[in-house]
Amino acid sequence: MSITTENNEKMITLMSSDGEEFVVEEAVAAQSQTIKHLIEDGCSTEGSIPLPNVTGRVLSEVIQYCKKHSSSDDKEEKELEAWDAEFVKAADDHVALTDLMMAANFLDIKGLLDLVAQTLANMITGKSPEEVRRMWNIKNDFTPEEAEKVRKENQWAFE
Amino acid sequence: MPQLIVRATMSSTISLPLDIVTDILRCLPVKSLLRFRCASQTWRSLVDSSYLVKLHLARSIEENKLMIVFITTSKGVEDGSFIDSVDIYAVDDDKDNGLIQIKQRFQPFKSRKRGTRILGSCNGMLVLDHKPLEIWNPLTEKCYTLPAQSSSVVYRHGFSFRSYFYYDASSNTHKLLGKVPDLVRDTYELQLYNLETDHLTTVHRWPLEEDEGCLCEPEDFVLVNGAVVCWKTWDDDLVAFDLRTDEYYQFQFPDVHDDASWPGWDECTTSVH
Repeated sequence: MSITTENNEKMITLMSSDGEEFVVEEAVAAQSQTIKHLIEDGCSTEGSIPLPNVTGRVLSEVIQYCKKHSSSDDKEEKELEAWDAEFVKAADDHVALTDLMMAANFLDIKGLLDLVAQTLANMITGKSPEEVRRMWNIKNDFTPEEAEKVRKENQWAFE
Repeated sequence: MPQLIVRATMSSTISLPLDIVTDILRCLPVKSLLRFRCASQTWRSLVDSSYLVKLHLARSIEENKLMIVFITTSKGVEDGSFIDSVDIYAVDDDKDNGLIQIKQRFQPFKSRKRGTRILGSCNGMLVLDHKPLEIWNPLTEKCYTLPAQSSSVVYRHGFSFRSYFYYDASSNTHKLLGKVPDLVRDTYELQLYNLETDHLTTVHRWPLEEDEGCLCEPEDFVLVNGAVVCWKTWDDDLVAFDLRTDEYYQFQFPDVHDDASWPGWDECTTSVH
């Protein structure tokens, strides 16, 4: 569905995987390269754009980020950095951040993807391989001998 | 609380897609990266892939995190440029560009009888003057021995000469450049070695050889943006020879000093690469 506001700003509707609808300015939604291409291909003229990979909870966070970043210009870089830091802090744990990162990946929003990737990287920098496996349910598929060998190859990384 | 449970269940069923893992890994410091090789087979092959190495390097350059300082000390060798133990520091953005120590006093070449000298560095790797030459990455501690012919870039008649180790973005290759004497022609020649293709090129016709009385000393050249730059002694001009296009350029040296004498490359504080 394509409607226009009083400011003559074109609005489009995004629909999350759980059926929640979000009406946003086209300039905000176009921060996502995926949505931008869908708009260019004329997918936004009828009804709403369905985003089957993104839940309403995550989509509202993504839209928050896009709104902030489409309204700020380069002069406000410092302020934007501070806002970004608060934004990822609010996501609070690695599960929420991972969801956010998957959405940023699917929607192709480079700034958000880099921001969340760096936040997750900072989170795991000092952790052990065991802790990282637990965080994302990664299966340890090394035999004990292999594990010992790989560990020995980079012993200093464990000191 | 119910929401927490739902989210926890979701994360246990959804596995982390490879491109997401890649994006996180490229933001990590090298030490963590090497540690996480132990997480799983997939993570190990990802960390070891040249794809991730390139992404990681690009990110490090973008974030200005690549600067590493090597403090080398010598023991029993008079020349201070021989490595005995190594300390590695990196620039830390979070601490107002302070240095953080990454490795302390480790002795990578303990087993070697003679000292090790660094011939050049590029993209976090060093060329060592072992025979044959070796490329060493001090963070991963991996060492690659170069094919024997690479030595002719640096050594001639038992002496070693100045060399440059650099990355040529136009061909996506690492190269080693040296200037060694050509006794037959009584001049110097440029030797260019391509590490990726193991190809050795000799540049015989180089800017100054045909001008009599103007044999640049072996040390009197620098490499800037893939071009060899040297000074012509008799008219204070700078000559550049682009190794990619074989083209010569000549620049007039500005008359800024009272005696207009060439300060020499050693006193040239910076040459912008």
